[in-house]
Amino acid sequence: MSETNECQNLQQQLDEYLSDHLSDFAKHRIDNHLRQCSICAKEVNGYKIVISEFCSLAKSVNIEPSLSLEYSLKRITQPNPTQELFTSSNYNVLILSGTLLFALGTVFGLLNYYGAVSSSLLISFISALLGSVVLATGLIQMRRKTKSSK
Amino acid sequence: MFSDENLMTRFGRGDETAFSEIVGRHQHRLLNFIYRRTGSREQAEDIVQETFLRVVGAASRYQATAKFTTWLYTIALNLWRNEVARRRTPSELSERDRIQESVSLDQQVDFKKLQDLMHDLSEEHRLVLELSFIEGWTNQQIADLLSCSIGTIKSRKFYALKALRKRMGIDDERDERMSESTTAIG
Repeated sequence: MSETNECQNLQQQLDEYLSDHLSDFAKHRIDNHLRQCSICAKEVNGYKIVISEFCSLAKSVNIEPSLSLEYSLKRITQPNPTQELFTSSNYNVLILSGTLLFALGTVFGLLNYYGAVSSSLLISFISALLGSVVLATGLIQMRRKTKSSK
Repeated sequence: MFSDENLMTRFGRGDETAFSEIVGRHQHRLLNFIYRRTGSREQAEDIVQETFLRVVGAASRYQATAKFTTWLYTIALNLWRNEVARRRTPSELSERDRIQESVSLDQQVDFKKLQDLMHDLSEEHRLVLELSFIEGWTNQQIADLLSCSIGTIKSRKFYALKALRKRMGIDDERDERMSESTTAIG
């Protein structure tokens, strides 16, 4: 059987035909030709078998997202609640109150030491210690925040 | 239903539910697209996670000039290519052949079968086949992703299909006739 115009038409549109991207009219024309031309029918059928085998095998390689992936993806846009505690205004408060506590504890401790005031040395010490801890926490959080925003 | 591009624009303006919808639409397909390349759930999930992180990072600069899926898969493919380049040492390449404990035995067998079927194809040919017949992309979309012409995509597609035909032992009478006539002329 010699090649006809319809055979050439099929060759030109084979990609669209196999990908199912043809209009109904163009598809109908090719389907008609395939009923009459055994060579084209055999060729197209071969491609259809290949595509069907390939798709069925490729689709069988199918994994579901793990819970950990789903969780991570959900968290991408949600801020970490522990980090949320330390917004810029929060760590500023920590730094300020830490500095104040530390300064107060130190000043009262020194005044007490030199006998200018009569308060408990232990309270001054605890205040200075607590102040330094709060100050350090504030500074660490500020550093973290600056790093993560870079 | 909103388009992906519309959702991305909304997300860029701060609507986080839009991003959740994008993730819901694409995470499964993207995961399997990458898994078919890596054969490792862990690597595929890392790449998917990093891809979406980059999407978030670029959301405010996003402009819907191309299809969102093309952009998403471009990010994922680049990450995977970087990963391949980074791991190109003998000890690390053999990691791919290790049994994946987090994937069922059936999945490992199917993965192996798919690799065998596509054994003779280059990565570019595999990509064209998968994007065209599994993901349902148009030639234009694939051409955009792989930065080449539609003609190149078509020719790669048929080269790949013919290679699979040959591997499956399906005759191509037209090709045989053409080669016979070429021999007769010669």
